[in-house]
Amino acid sequence: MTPIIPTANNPASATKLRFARRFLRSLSKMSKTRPSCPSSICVKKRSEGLKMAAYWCMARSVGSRRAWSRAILMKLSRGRQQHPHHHNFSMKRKIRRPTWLGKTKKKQKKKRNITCSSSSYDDEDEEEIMKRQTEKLREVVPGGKLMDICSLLEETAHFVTCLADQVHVMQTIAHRYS
Amino acid sequence: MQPCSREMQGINPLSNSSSQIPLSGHHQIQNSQMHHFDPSSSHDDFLDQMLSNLLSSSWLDLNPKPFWDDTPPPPSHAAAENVAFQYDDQASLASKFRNHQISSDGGNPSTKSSTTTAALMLQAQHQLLMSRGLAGAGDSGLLPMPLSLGGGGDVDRSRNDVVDGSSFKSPNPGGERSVQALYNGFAGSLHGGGQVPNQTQQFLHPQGQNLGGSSGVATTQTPASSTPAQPRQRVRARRGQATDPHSIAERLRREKIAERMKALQELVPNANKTDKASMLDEIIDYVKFLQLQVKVLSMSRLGGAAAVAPLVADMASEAGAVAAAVAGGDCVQATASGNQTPPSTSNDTIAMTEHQVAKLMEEDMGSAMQYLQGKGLCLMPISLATAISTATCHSRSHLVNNHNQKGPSSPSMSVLTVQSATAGNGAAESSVKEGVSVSKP
Repeated sequence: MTPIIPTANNPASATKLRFARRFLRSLSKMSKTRPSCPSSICVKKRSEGLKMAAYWCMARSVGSRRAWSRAILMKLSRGRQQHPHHHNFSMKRKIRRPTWLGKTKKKQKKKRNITCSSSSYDDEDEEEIMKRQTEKLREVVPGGKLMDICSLLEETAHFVTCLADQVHVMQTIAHRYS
Repeated sequence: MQPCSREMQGINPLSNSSSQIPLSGHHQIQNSQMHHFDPSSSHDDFLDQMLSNLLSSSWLDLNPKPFWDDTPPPPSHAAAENVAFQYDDQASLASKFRNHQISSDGGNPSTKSSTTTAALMLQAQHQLLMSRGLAGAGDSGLLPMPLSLGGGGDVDRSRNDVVDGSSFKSPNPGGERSVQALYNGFAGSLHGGGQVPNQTQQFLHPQGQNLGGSSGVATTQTPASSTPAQPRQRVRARRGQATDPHSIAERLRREKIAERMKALQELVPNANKTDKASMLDEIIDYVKFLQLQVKVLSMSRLGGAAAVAPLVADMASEAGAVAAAVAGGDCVQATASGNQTPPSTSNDTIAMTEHQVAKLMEEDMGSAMQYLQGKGLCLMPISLATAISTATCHSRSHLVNNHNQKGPSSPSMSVLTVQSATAGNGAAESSVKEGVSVSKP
């Protein structure tokens, strides 16, 4: 494998490097085990599995240091126990997918209704607005439901940095190998 | 519940010994403060709380706090609360200074280094403790600290300089004010020490008056204390601040949240919103956007006939909702650049892709679309493409295909217009006019 990730010296990107390595390994594993079938369902599953693999690799790279990574690992391992196939991470039917891994249409509709009704901020108390927004944030960030606001914000900050790293790595890989 | 850090040990003897002081409600406030702080946060967080309480005073303006409207509390209560507040603040601030540099130090021209200010603080606190007649337990916890910092002779000079430096009549934004708030806290503690020179007292007194309602900073006013032996050492922490320890904990918590929000603000692009609610919205949208990017990338990497049209439609609608909010941030440009460079560097592959698409289109439109989407491309009417390219002024006339980012794309992305006149494209043109799928910008 060509080293496509630039070697960085600052410790902030150590997670990035770890994620890159893990992700490449899992990618090669996935391409070996699964032949690319043209059917749409298979493709869907594969992209879903790839997405889960990306999140799992990121969570593993971060380790147990962060609440969100622990949440991801727990949820994915729970999913894996129910599905014995190790390469198929899609848990759509058996488990209600956590919202941060991808929302189903129903949930999106519900959210849209809620946001429409809350558009009149003038009448609302500021506390209500904050509560609603923190609720939304909790749904988006993994493991957010169990945390208070302070740690939620902290976790969000770390999660955002890790997500940005993840996206950057995936883009680089896609760019290199497309 | 016993904290194990050095700083906390400094505070704890304070709390223990202060309970012996026959001051009205001091010990109660102290103990209840401790009770409030300990469960709510870890040890580091406690110090952060205390420090951020003063350092991030700029956030206080954003919160519609009722205490601004309240009249200043009766002096005895204020004094009691302020003294307790003072103890913890100084100890935590001292420890914080020892550990970190104040970033906004450079903003204040007459500022001394943080170590001298820390030394000053410790000296002041030490004096305060002495003046309170505390047992040596509290002192011993704090005594090593000034010694370690040294510069005992410097302290008087630096004290005066610090006092001079804390001349702020109007609320200054951000760090400067926070640093000055810190100084003011020291100044208050200076009053507390019985050995404070008179000139500093007089100097600070008018300043304290000026500060009255201008900011949420610890102001030094003439405290009418319950103990007449020490006329001016009490600091009235905040104007109209209730003596309720609940409100103190609440304020600290709020400032911690504000600090975290600030950190998040730096991470998220388009962080120019000052409103907390809109900032939260921005953050939420950015997280959703990043997750969407992961989804997009996981699809596009599969290559070949990857995504199906309904999937793309889903993503387009999602992307429309999300990308509209996150307008043209760095991430969008990153994705744009991520997908732009291949076309610019390899025209051959573009031509190949074209031919492939043309061939597929003759057989089946759906497979052609799938092929394109697997590559992360889409079809677009030539008229629209030319319009976009001329609008964005990124046109490169020698390039041959329209490559648009699937999902989160923005109109500012450069579009490479179709200009090839090959036979394959002739077929493409005709089919393009019939039905086009363009990812929503």
